[in-house]
Amino acid sequence: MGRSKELTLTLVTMRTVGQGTTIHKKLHAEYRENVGICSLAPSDMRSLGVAEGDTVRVTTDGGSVVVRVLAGLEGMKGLVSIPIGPWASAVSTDACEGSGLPGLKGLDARVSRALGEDVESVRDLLRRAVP
Amino acid sequence: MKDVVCPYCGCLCDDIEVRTSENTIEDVCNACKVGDHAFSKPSSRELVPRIRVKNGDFKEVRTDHFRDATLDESLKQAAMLLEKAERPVLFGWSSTSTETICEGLDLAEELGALIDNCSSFCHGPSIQAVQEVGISSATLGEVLNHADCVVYWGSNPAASHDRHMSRYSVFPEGAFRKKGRDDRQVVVVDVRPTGTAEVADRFIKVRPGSDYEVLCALRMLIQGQDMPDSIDGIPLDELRWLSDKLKDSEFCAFFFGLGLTTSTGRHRNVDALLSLLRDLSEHTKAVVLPMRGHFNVTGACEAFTWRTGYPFAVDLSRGHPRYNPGETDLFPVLSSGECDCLLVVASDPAAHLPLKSLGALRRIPVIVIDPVWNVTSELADVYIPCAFTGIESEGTAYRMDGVPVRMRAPLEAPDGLLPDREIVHRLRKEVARLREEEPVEDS
Repeated sequence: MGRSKELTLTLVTMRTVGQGTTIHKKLHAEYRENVGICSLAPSDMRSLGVAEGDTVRVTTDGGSVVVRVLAGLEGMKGLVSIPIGPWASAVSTDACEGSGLPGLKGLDARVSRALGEDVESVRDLLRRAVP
Repeated sequence: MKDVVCPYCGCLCDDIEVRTSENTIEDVCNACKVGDHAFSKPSSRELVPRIRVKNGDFKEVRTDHFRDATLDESLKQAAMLLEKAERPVLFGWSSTSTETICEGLDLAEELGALIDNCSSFCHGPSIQAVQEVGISSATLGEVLNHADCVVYWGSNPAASHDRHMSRYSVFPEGAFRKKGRDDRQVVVVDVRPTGTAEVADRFIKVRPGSDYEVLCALRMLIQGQDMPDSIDGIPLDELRWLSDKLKDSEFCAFFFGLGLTTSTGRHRNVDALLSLLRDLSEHTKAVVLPMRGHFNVTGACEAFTWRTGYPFAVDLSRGHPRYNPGETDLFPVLSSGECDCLLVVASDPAAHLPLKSLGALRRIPVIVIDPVWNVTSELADVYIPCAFTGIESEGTAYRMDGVPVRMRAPLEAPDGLLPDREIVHRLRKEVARLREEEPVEDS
């Protein structure tokens, strides 16, 4: 495995079948395994020094979150794709551009290997939301 | 039971067969993988209402801070919280029946509340664009029978609407498309090669945030104007091929998703697509449909519009409906600190709002009415479980193309669980009762 470094990629959100099949289990580990994930292109994974199943930290102007890398999800060079859900919401922004819709796609995201860090549970994410 | 309607996505597949025994689903036929799960027993279901008992300066995320309650007690508590709020917001209304949504609109009127549905998180920008440009639309049946060119733009039905392509748009035989898939050209335009792109004749990759430019370039090609050799990284030949295919088709159908509505440009992207359709109509029959997600988010927009004149983000606090997306949606009123009580019915906004804004939900009263304990329930003050619409209670839902479908109920709800329609109705009665009581107490 190569040396770990940080890449600036473009964040996009996506839909997955696993997200749909676990929609009624949002506080369960199964949902976290299906939604607390991201897809990356193989070349970007090599640059970051990560393999499938490793965790990466994704940071935008909206926040920072750790997600697990899942291969085989149509990764595209230059993009980091996270399913819509609590982990994507942890890095979305309040830039609504005249709508009521938070910024979810096309954000600059700094991505780096998160050695030893696990994907937070939904409850842990909520505990981070302080008034 | 045959002809059961799947209560998951905007496709509202109405050919599901469900085999039951002793009020349990034993087998589900014809549903997609996600639909199959929609009918399975959820593991996070609560059967009795719960009320939060410990409150500090802000709510803790702890399940032991709740106690069980009766339905009457929880309705009284919810009504009291809503009635004393100055800026109550009623949100959700997208994974339930249209009858429930109408009850919600009655409640909003009673309270002078702001009422919003999930459109403000997905296709709100599409609706804004339709209001500016207009739309050439069709039913999915018309697409099935007539379309010979199908374009998915910023939409991945292979993951989000699994049977869309097999029931309506790509694979099935139509009255004028006897060879099914072989009679259709299928194009996918997206930022990455999705599962949908794998079944397409051509995939056109766009740079994230460049949809508006590409759509405008396509418009210019269709209008016969000169263009540079490359548009935002896409070779002109590729766009010219698409423009020729569209113009030469007999009936082209566009479907678009959150790839357009949540990218930079928002409603302007959809505006450009709808304008493209207008240009294309000079050459051929062209229609466009948004890929609506929640199974009755279309019904929410329909009912909101009948009752208030506006499809989402409706503020009734001044005694008349007011609509100003960007100001009267859930996210702006929550993040600005305006909202001082939130009722959520059949939705889970805490899973989709920016995490930074969720702090607001730890400070204000939150009431959740939902069949399952979800992320928003974790921040609730009152949680009232209800029957699953389309599985345990009947109702009407609107398919993504605006066709109303009657949903059946293959199961009976567990003892004590009412349809959300009945719960919202009782909640409104309780609010009205509290309001009637007040002047008596004052005198």
